[in-house]
Amino acid sequence: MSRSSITKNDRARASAAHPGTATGNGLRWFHGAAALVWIIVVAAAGLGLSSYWQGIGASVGLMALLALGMIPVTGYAGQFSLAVGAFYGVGAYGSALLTMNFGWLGIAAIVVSAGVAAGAAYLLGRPIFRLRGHFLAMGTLALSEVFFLLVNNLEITGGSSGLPLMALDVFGFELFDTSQHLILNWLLVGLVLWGCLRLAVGREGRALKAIRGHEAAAASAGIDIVASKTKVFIASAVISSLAGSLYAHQVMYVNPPPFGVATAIDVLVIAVLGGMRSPWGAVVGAIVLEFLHQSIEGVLTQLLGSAAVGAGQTLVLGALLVVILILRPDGIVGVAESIVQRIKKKPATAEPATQDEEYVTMAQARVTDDTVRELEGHALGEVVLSARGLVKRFGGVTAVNDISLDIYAGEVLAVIGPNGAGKSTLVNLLSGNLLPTAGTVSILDEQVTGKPAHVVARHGLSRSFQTPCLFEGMDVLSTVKVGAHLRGHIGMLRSSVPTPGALREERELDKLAHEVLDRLGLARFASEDAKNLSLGQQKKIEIARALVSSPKVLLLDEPCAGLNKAEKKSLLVLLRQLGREGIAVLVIEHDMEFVMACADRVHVVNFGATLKVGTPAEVQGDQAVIDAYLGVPSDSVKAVDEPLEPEVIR
Amino acid sequence: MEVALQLVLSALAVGAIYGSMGIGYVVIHRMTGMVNFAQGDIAVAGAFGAVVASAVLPPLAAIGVGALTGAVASVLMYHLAIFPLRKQGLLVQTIVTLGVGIVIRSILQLIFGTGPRQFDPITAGGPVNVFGASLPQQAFWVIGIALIAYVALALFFERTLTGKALSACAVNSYAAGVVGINLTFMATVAFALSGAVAGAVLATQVPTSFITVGAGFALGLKGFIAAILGGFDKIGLTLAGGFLIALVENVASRSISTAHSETILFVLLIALLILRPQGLTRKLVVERV
Amino acid sequence: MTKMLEVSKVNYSYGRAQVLYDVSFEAAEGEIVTIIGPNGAGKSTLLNVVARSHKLRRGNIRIAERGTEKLSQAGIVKLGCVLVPEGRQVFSSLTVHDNLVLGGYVSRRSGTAKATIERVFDIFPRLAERSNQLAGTLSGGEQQMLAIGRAMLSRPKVMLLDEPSLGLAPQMTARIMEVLGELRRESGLTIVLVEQNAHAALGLADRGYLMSGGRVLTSGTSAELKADKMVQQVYLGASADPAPDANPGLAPEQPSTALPSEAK
Repeated sequence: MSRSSITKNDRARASAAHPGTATGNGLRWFHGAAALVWIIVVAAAGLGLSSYWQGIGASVGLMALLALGMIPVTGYAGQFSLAVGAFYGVGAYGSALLTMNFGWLGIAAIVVSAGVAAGAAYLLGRPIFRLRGHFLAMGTLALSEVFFLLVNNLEITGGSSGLPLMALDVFGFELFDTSQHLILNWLLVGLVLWGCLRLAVGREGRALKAIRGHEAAAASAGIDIVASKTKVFIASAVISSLAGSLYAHQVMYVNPPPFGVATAIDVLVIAVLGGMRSPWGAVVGAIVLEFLHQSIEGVLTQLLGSAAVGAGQTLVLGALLVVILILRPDGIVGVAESIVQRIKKKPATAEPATQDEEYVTMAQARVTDDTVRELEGHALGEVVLSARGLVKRFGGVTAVNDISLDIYAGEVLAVIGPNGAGKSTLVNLLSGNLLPTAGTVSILDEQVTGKPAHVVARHGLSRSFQTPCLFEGMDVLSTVKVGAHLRGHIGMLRSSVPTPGALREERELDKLAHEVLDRLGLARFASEDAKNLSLGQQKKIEIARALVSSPKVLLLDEPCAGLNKAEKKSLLVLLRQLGREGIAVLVIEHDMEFVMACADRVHVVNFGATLKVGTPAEVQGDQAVIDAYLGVPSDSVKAVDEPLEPEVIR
Repeated sequence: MEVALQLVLSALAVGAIYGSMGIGYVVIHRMTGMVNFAQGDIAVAGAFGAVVASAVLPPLAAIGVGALTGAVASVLMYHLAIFPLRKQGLLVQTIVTLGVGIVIRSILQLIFGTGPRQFDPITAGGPVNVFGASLPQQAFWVIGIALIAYVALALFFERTLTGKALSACAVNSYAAGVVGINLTFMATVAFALSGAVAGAVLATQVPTSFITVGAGFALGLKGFIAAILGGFDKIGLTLAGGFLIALVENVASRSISTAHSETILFVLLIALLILRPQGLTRKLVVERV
Repeated sequence: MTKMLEVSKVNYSYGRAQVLYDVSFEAAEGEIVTIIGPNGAGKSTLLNVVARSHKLRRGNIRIAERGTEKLSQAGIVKLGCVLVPEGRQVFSSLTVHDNLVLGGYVSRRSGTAKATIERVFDIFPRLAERSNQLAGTLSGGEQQMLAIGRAMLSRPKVMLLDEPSLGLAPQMTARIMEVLGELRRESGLTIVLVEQNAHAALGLADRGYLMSGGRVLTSGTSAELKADKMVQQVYLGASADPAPDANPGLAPEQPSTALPSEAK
């Protein structure tokens, strides 16, 4: 594991926080004030409302808490889980059983129940997250139903008649009153809400959103996808279990119905109604849904009689789910955000005219670079990445057929060849995004053959993709910071409860990302949605994301596509610079002018095999290469009636 | 011996229902890659369609109406809820089917209430005795109709151009468009078939036991297990899977307890997902992007 | 001779990236026209717009002297214009025979389908041998034969081929070109051939268009294009000619484009 992480030196430089990043004192004040407002509002509601509304307020708070448990899993990471019902029940029954049957302290029971929920989430999540998303949905739905059936049929849980328990006793102070419940629940909601909001802008939250956006690109940034999903699933289980324990102590009675699938669906509706992408959606959704419930009850009792209320409410619930998803999949908070954005929207930053006064061709730029190298006495370094005998077959087609290559530190190696020659497949084999049929890959003498992409990334390999793989709804700065995933260490818990260390690391990642953005001329787009930019800019963002991890070897798949000439030239200068800094660069490219000026060596691939390796000049003058590109004049090839045995591709 | 035979025979009848529910999942999943959470409720809608029709029609025709109701409900769901979300990705499409399921269930409840409903069997008369075990005559109809549905579907996919086109969409939707196959039309066909098969078989079952509006949920989960066993791909294995589930359920409720037999099934579902998501097939359905 | 295909002033963008700028070309009945150009020139996109797997947003396309604005993808196939897509795109888990049958999906006449399948098997005996094999197990060349055979099943008047030589050995490419020539001779088929392999394409075609950066740079008979130095320059980069910026029509700031659809 040789990737450089943040050094002391970096830290010193980072302490001069980048201007424009809002992690300074102002933010601290803002958070403090917001927390104060939250506490005052909650206390006022707790003390001012009638006890009927206090009760409703307390239960709405619990629903909001459950929805907050769902949003990081489903909204951030894009995994559809319906296990809330079960984990909610684990907390409730855990508290009831442990306090009443075994005489445990309330707090201890809450902690142990949450631990049980976390363990179950780990055991279920780890294997199931290897499957497609909706299998998780069905698995968790079954889990909720299993839990319901178990507590309904087991003697120890009191069957359908349930279990009684006492009010929660916090070190001799008994929480008995509904106003206390309301205050406790909503303070907790505030805490979890804050944690979710912090998580969203932290390292692990970015990783989750990257997973939702594009799994292959996330893995290439070094994110362990299964581990990240499992972690957030566990966090969600703990929050749900906590809500369950509180529920049990506040109602002082548990029976099976609240812990079945119906609750899971209620929570889902809350999250969808409020908006999945932001934790505020949970709060807004829970309040609005309760409001709807109350009004439906009023209207339906008059219309159809009280017997129809149950079915009527679920009908509205279901219809709401369908209609909101079709009209506004981002929910109420999504609507609010887009209104705010429309108001705040500033005129688009005019693109500065391309400063290309001095007329320099790519070839001339190369000559300048070579002069610098000569002065510096630059020499090729050791072999960074080495591939031997790589083969990849897809069904009957051999895409890569016995390719071996070495990339040296400090060189730019271009891989060229006609369309369909197997170049992109080759890169996918090197980066671990595809498993080779045969052959080996090693990075700095360590075997990485057959290892998944996120492990290969840890050995110091970064890559870009042919078609930009950016993450939906993420701004440019965050997208680049995803690439710096491996340069940070802060886990999920420390992201959401930002410790000084977590904040410092975030500032450092911020600074690294800004440096790379500056270097690539993307600084002015930092806060724009990456997917709204032009193709050329998107390609540059991909390069920035690959660079920010300070890789040992950088693989770029057609970086020039979509760039204009001036941009290509600056990319050329950048790649030459990276070479001088000792990075091994492999670039697939079709633009021959660029390739010839940029590369130290050129590796020509045709029909999945190596055609020629040499300097740009050698390759350019090679008849076989010219033929591969322009094709062989048909009169020089005798057509055969039958394809060649055994493979057409030789 | 007689006990074992009895268990197997009744598992055949119940398994036919689970299997046909599973086939409903498979047909839609093959075409669209999505899991239809409303599957169970659509089948129940079909069964209630048959209940209503049985007031004026003979049982066999009423079951036909049940198939039609299931198909119509399924197609309506596709066009009203799923088609508008076709650009949103599978997650949103899957969530929306959950909403549709709730809507169907609560509409049925508003119309029919929560009580059980039934209609006359196709052939009157007592149970048939098979080597000492006995099975109601209607159960043979359930098995028969499930088998007919299976054979018809298999022939449809193997022999007809439309059936092949449906498979082609599943394999490569871009290429299907290139040869002139209309994807929306094909999805409509898939949803109709799925609803019809599940609706018809469940409707046939109504005379032996009965049907309630809440039955869809458990049926949907059990059908899902059958679909996993069929690897979400093979309809024959799905039907066999349905039988296996029913057998496990029968054995469990006999040897452990009726109360826990469903729990055991759903634990089995989770275990299958974790340990053997490819079910009875050899390899996992290739992920489609 | 009637114009079987007339494309005028077609523009196309992927999101904000424009990839086709006012592209026009035409093909007469029984003519073989090739569109050559380097990767990313917009050739594939152009064919996909004609076949309507990409929406036609700006521009005009007439097939067999009929407007096609209102037609769906299936409508274009019914009109007699069929695409052989880049990268073959066969139905890999269906048999060779089923692939062919599905090619005739829009005509739905099993009698003529049988005869056409026989005809395909005559041309490509290798497909007849492998009739019951899954298409995914075929080699690249065989899959290309299958893709062409599948297109023949719709009994087209115009066949659009997107890089049929992609990844094929020269002998195989030559065989495919030979077959295309036969098809034209026998049934008066109009063929539009998009190729990177300029020599093979110009060896077969009557006329050609050179595309780069989403524009048609030049056009002419195959002989004229073969002699044109611009072709080599566009393919192998301006460095073949030391004069800076020698590509006429390629303004420095104009984006050359990569097409998501051309990604493998």
